[in-house]
Amino acid sequence: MTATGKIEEQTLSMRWSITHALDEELARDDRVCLIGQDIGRPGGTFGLTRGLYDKYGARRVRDAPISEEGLADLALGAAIAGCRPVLEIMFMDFLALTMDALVNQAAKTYYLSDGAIAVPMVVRTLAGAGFRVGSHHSQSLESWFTHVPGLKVAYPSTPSDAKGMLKAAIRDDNPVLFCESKALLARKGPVPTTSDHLVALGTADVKRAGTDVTVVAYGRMVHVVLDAAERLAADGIEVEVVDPRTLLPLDTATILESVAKTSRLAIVHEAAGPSGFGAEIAARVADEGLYYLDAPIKRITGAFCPIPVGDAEDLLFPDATRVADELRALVR
Amino acid sequence: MTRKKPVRSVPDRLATYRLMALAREFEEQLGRIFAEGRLGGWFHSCIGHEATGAAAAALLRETDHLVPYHRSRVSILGKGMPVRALALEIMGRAGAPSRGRAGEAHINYAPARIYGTTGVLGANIPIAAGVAYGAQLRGLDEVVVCGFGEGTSNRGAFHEAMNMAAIWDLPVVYICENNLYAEFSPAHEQMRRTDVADRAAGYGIPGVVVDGNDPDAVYATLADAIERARAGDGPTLVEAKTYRLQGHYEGDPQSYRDRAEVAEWAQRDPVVCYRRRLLKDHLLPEDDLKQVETEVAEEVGTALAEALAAPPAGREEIFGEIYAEGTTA
Repeated sequence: MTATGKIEEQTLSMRWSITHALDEELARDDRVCLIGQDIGRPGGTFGLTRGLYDKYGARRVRDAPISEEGLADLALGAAIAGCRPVLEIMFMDFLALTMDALVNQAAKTYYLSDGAIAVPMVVRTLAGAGFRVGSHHSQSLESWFTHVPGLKVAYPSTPSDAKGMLKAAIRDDNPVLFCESKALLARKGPVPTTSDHLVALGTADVKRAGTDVTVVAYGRMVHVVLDAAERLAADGIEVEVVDPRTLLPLDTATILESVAKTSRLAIVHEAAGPSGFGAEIAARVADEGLYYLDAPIKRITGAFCPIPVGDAEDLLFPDATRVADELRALVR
Repeated sequence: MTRKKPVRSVPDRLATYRLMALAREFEEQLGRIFAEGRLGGWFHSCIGHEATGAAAAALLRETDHLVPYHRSRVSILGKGMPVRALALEIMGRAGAPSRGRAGEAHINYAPARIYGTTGVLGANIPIAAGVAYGAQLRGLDEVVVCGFGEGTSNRGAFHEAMNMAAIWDLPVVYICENNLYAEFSPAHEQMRRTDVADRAAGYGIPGVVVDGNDPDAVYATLADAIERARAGDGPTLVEAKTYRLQGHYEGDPQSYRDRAEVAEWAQRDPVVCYRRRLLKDHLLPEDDLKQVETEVAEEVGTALAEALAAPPAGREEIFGEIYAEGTTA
């Protein structure tokens, strides 16, 4: 903050906002340590840990073998021993290998010890499509984890949120799955320069105010929806875009407040529709806000189809044109 | 890496016998409770496994960590989980340390640094590596002992953990209790090698075979391995050859085992043999041993009776905090 109370900001890509968050937390707390394949000397497959190996050394920024399950359990053990590990799983698809460690072990440790053992660990992973690298490097599997009591699931859409939420996740005493949309890494935005920039997990953010329809979207889809909203504004349709930012715990109140105002709800996500996180949002609004609604809840999602390699990937996911068309039909 | 065999004092050996006798009483009395149908659920008998856990417990400091498996009751008791707490935990009672949430498969007791037990066998092996990783990173003079059976050494998690422990010289000692059966299946049908310890060569760490029914032999081997870990020289895979004298679970008809084999191993019962050795070596008068046996029988009897009479966990215990700092979904 400046003397006038204004928050100083700089323009950063999401890539650098993530690196800065890691850097600041490593500097702040010597219990914080990073583990992952190629995150050390090489600086990470996506360059997200560049410079940290030289600054903090091989022990705190550790290159790991290809052992996803073992690494997730190792991170849990290190957390039990008083560290605050941040594990990078290079692609969200590889989380399939960590399911036992995260779902059966890390998520239940606090509960099974009646709170005697906390698990302050973060699993960062590169989520979603955008790199055209096919069916094992492009998926959005967040709803596998939002079903598990004991985990938190974060999925930021802007550099500022990514930085503030990652810092909050590292300071959180629970296991947090932190999803970083690889399509957003190069996207720039304003980020507060202060090292105290924290965004509390479990708080949604209204990315665009509107009166005619609420759209809940997270990750890459926030920007697709914002593009669609600009097009619709030209037609006199005002879209309110709510980014939950954290899926578990979910800030249902902010979503309901918006729906109460607009009376219409669409949910947009990159993940496939069936049992996708949109179903949870729709169910909560149906439970608690059905009488706010003037139209059925609309889900606009990725196709229920394995993701093909190359440009064909685009056929699977909502784009601004499709979202605008669907929303136009919804408010008609 | 041959060191002089450690000489243990009479009180130390008596303490080891006491722990073995305590654990044996616990298993026998608990087994009867299950056999009589007085408890639901299950438990996995540790009878026959006493020597390994008793030796490990004698070597671990309060600040060291134990990452057990479902047949580690001896080391759990020896590391410092009270008999009463363990009984309450296995029975899912409201007064258990976990308030009745954990049960036999998930024993944890942070005050004695016991954690990482899992119902999905093998996850404890990389978790133990992680505890050692944390201790190493924080520069603490602490070692981790982790137990598992030979069947679990077929898990991918075993391989990943051994490799990570090796490359980072983690202060962890892995004790594989090879009791020849993974549930109902003999080890020779599930691995080419007779010795799990041979697998250590693949990770570039020492693998040592020891008579798992002889607490003095296990003590000597573990003393070396723990010293090595404490010195920063990395992990050791110790394979303790032993035998499960009971079934996989209470009530297991054990049709998969040859009676002659069971009888042969019964001759090598670690509690009976260690008692005989202490007497034969004229280390102790029999009355001292009998007094120990009477004491542990009473201690276990009282603890189990109290636990049986204690209320089970109810809504208040079960629907507690799932997240640290009271956060909820």
